[in-house]
Amino acid sequence: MKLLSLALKNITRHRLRSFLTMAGVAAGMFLFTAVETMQHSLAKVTKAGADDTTLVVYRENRFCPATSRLPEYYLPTIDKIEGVREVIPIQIAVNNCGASLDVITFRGVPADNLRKYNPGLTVIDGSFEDWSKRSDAALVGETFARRRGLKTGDKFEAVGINVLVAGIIKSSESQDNNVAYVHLPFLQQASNVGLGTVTQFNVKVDSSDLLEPVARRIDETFRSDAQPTTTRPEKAFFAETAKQMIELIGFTRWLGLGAVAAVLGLVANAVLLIVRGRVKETAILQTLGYSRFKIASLVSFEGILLGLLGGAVGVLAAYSFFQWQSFTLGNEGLTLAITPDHAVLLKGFLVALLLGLLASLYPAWRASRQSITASLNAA
Amino acid sequence: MLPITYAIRNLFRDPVRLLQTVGGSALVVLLIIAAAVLNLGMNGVLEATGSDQNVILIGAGSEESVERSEVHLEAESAAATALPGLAKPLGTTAASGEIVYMAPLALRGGKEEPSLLRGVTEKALLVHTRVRLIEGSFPAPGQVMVGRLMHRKFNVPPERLAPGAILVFGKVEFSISGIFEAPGTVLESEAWFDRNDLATVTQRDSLSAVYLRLADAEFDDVHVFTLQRNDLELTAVREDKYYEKLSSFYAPIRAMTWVTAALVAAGAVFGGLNTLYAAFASRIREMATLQSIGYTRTALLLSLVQESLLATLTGSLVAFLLAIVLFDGRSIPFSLGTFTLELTPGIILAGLASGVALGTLGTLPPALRCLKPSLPIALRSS
Amino acid sequence: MKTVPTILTATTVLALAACNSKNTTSEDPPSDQSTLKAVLLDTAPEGAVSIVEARKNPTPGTEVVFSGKIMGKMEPFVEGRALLTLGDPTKIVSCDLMPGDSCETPWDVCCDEAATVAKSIATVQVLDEKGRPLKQGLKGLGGMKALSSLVVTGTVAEGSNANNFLVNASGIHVAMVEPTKENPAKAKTPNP
Repeated sequence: MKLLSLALKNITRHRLRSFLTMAGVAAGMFLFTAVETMQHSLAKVTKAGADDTTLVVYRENRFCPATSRLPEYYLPTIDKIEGVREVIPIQIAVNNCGASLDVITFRGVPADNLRKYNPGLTVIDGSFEDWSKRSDAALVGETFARRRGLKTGDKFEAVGINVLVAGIIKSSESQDNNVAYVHLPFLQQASNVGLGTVTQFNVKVDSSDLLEPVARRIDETFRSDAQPTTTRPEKAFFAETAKQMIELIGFTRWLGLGAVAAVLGLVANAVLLIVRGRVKETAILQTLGYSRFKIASLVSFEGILLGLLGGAVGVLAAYSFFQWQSFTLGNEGLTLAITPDHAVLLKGFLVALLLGLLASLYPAWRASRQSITASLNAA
Repeated sequence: MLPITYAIRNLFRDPVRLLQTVGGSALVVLLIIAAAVLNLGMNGVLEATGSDQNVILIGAGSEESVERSEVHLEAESAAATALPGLAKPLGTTAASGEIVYMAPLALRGGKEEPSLLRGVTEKALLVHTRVRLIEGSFPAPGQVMVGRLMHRKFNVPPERLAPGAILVFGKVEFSISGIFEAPGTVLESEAWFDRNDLATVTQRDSLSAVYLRLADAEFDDVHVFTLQRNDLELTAVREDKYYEKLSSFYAPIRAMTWVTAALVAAGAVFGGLNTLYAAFASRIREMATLQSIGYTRTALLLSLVQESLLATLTGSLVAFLLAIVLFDGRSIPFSLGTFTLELTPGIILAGLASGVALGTLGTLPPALRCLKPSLPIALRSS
Repeated sequence: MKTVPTILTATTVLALAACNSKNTTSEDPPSDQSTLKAVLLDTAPEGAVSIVEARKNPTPGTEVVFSGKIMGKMEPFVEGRALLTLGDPTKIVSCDLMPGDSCETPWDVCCDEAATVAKSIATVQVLDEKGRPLKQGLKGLGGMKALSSLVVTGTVAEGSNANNFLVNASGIHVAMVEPTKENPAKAKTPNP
């Protein structure tokens, strides 16, 4: 790997140029990784997987939580349907339906149901018992608590509701980490919908192939009621309801492509400059015995190194940024936590490497093509 | 001082590099213009929508979003009688009780799009003074009046939403009675229904808010009214302050546009610097020669800056032309409404300033490096 | 000759300062303050009932005399306006009288149900000659502060109904500035 060490030496020879190129590549790859993280987080929440077993029963033709009002007495009817393992009524209060980073969501649930419905919920601070005792107590998801700087025992007010933090929770279901769970009757009264009305029902079925038939049964049952329902798997529900957020994230794909194009141009420019500035040196190497292919490889290695090193900085910076600062996009009462992922990290490195290679192909070819005598004679 | 023809001739010495510089600076300026135009548009439409003469009576606890609010029906008449200083155009008190509802609307046979529905009476026109009917009539029962920019939501040409077309909400059909305009505000993407119709279809027996227009009364008087009537559970919010709060809600998203522009611009600037360093490095001898003839370092520096400025300003011009073609007049829908992008003189000035900054500040480091070496060393460089 | 301009400048500055100070003192209309002082009564008016009792007849124009404690809202005094919230101590209890409660704002009666609180409060206002609440806060008038006991006499105002009790006060008597745990304010209810 003498070529590789030579390439490395060449890069460090022109420190300023290499630094500028790598800085530019880092900026571009930071943007690319940020976009990929968002796309990846969204895909996890909206693409159906094999072990999805959750359905959301919502009012037909509605998407803003304030507009979906289902009678609580639907619950026993839903529970009796074959295939339904668990049902939980949820009242949702959110401060704003539009897509934004500062969405506050309250979920009102019956106290005894919460644990049964989601066994993956663990209380990491405070206690469940404390929550059960007070009517205005809240169990706050850890991301939410971090965002607002809340600890157990704090009182806070949002959406016109005053609550006391009885505990901080962590859950395997991503939605739970960004909301505050309160008692159902408390929320029903505090948000003026009145007792007996809820926003939605979350239904857990026995297995994922039962999702569709159970959904159809539920909708059929209530089709001619005063409040007809639309039942969808949770991921599909997210995809159809949080349209604004999805559009926004979809648009960022263009930004990702733009970043890639910019990085490509940057590295290509830098490598071209390298080649142009070393015409004589390249010719000397050729007279020493380096084959054209080896010259081309040398140039390619330099391009790859610039891309990879700069890209590594950018990708790692983006990864750490999202680790340190947790962003949660909210829309229509649903939340999406933008979490960095190892898969995205790997993809970033790969893309940086490929871009470096691609960008240096033309300059490498140019470098190997020049005739030795013409190059030796050049100024 | 070196003649400007020297700078021009130097530019054309390497056409590829010239293209690179012009292209790079065009990209950077275009990005800055794009971010500025988006921010200004989104901010502007929210600012323009709220009037400081209007006060919204909103349900206590729902000050951040009127769609969530519930206000008792009698609040409309209570406010109208208890507040003496409200506007009274043509003898009718400007107090409009309205229902604001977000729900999917569809053209008959078309796709559903989330829309903002407003259930109003004619009094709404007394309060929302910027609204003007441009075609058709105010909605009667069974009808709906749509804003001028509503067609952007459905991505159809405006003729599809002409009076007579059918809009479907849930299972109920409404025929479009007219089109209204409210330039520069989010109201232009709303659908206005007869209030009783909307109340029936949404199964609501309460209003979302009461909008008041002040004449002699002050905001404080409305605030006192909300304190005197505990039973109505109201909060008074000035309309412009309400939209300001909404605007700040979208601030993080707007910040993202600037961050993105900055990141890509950084990449482009670094590339440009690289190119300039290389280009100037090959001219050290030339610069030294000119110095030995008698031109001062300052004159040479100025000439180099001139050269860059010519390139970057050309790039800025290209960016302006692209911006006019791509951005000016385009309307972008977002959750609250649609805003139109406008290339204001301020933005053009900002773009120009960026071009100048690129040309001057971007050239200084490489130029200084080029001119730094002492004359004997410089003359001997290859 | 330099002394003349200096003297002129000094006199102008002093004159302006004097004008300014006159302006600041004339900002507060003396009429507002005197109206408020005039409303204060030295002795409690006769025949005071509890707020809940008084609310049984919310017809605007009715003459009422009732007593209560300043409580029922997070901010029972309205800043800059002659309005306050009075609560019925026989129906709602301020948090400082609850054993073991360390609430920092005991007058918000958060321990009582919101629906009960809404039915046990009255809003008291002092009007100017135009019929609007005076632009002066009531806090401190006669020494009153949150949790003080008052006896109010006045007329039921427009806007009062079964769910809202608004009274234009013609006389306010500060019965007790602050009740202690041993001696909580008791409403003077006439024997039925």
